[in-house]
Amino acid sequence: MTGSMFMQGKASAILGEAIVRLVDNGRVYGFSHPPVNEIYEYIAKKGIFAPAFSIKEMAEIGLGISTAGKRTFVITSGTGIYDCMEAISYATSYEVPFLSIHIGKSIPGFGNPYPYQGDLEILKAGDFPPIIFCPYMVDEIPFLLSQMVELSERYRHPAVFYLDSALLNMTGGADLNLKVPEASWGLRTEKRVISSIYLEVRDMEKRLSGLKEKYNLIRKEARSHLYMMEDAEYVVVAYGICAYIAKKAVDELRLMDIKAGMINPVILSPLSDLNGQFVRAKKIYVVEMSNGQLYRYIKGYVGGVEMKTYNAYGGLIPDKGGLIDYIKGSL
Amino acid sequence: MDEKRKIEKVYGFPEILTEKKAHFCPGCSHGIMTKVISEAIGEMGLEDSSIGVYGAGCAAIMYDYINIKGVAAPPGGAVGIATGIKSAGKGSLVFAYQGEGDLFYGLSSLIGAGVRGEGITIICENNLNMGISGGAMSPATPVGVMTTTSPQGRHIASYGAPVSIAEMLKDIKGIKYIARCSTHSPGAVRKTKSIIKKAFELQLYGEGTAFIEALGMCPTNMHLTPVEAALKIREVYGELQTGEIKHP
Repeated sequence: MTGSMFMQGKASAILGEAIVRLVDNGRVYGFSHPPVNEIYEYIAKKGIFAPAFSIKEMAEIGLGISTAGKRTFVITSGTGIYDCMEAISYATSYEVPFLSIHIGKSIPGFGNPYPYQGDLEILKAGDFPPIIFCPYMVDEIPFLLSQMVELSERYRHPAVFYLDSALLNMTGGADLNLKVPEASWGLRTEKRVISSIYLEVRDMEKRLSGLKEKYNLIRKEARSHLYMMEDAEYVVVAYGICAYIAKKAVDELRLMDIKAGMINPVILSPLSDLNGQFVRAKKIYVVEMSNGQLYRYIKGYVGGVEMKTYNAYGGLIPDKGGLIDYIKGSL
Repeated sequence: MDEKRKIEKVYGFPEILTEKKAHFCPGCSHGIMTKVISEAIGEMGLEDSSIGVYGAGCAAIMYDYINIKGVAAPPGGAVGIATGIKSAGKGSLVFAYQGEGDLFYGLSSLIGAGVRGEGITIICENNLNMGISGGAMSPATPVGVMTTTSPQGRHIASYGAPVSIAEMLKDIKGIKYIARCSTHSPGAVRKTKSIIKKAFELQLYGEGTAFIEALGMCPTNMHLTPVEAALKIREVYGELQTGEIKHP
């Protein structure tokens, strides 16, 4: 569905409307549970929700729809993504898009529905991890989601739209004029068989070489949002709601004549090449809601620059004032 | 005698059955089911619109033998994938083909499809063990039968009682057609084919979900000759309700 529409409201509703406009299958199967129930409630009002009986079933149906050459989404939160990992792996091998929206809530176990970024290392694991998009504010959710759809369909590779439950509950305004180029894949093409079975090891080796080649192309699509990085000496690296807070902290630090800047990976995996970004940096601050997952992820890019971590967990969000004080105190 | 003789073809190699040498063990019923499904699709003229989704297990590469569009599903995922494919293309004839071990693995997908009345046909080849695992016990393995994971024979105290799949699904309203058939004899195979054709017809008429449980032989894992395995299946079959158990 296209057509301009500016929507003001909660991120869950904006995301729901974006899904309604992007889906071409007419149905989104889902398993409603907090904190994603508000997305399902929205798409149910629009008449495209169908109940699945487990997250595993939802993932399989999503994979089936994609295998047939149509577009749908699967929506999970917390540990629910684990039940989708098998479908993500199969979609990688089938070479079909697989569009997942994952809400980061506090884990391990049930934890609580409050925000957390504890799934990064799970999502980006493996030889050919899904493309991970990560918005940092409500306004960019529909646009980034449509970009993720386009990439996933162009490369026929799974993708995850990863946002924390804080962003899901924030309000904002966004343009929902979403355009994604037409593409065909799976059984809609001339392909007769969709399989991930290669019993001959040489066939499997060839298959993996092909995927490796493709993944190298996907790497070139990686991008990060650089904010005031031209002369930044104190670099904050953050994504999701943490980037939203960090950006405001950078603004205030600049008013104090502290040369701060921010790197916000829009695509978390594959990560854009950050090697050249830390040449002028004196210190790097990783702001995240996990026990150092982003810190470990970017450590390989920073050379000998001193790294510090400022994190919150348990459902808590990093505090802007606290972050400013922490940076000022460590200069 | 100038009486004109009419020649009619009554039997032949199914057109959509490929000539690729099958990997199935001698006496395995997957080979029989491959042929029966090919015949049913061919006789109904549905070659171009049929999509088979094959469950993980011995029959996962059935797409090599039946020349229609096919998908090799993840473990337990055949019904879910078939549901998705049908949802994306209502005009297709979509069937999931699974062993009973794989079916139980994805039970929530089977129940979900049944409750929603998804227009797919589910064919479960129940050979009383999990063949691809080298003959492990399945939920349907009868009491007393020895498998690699019930080496003393299945007994209820430790392993629980076997599950009758078809009966278990009877109360799900969206599953409109349930039948139990077998491949242990030529007569049983003919009946199986007619049941499959009926299930496919119901799908074309939009009559909800259809479920077929086809009992079959696994001589290798049963440590029996093909004939002995067929006799064993006849014995099990004789103790169960057979034919159409539920129909619209």
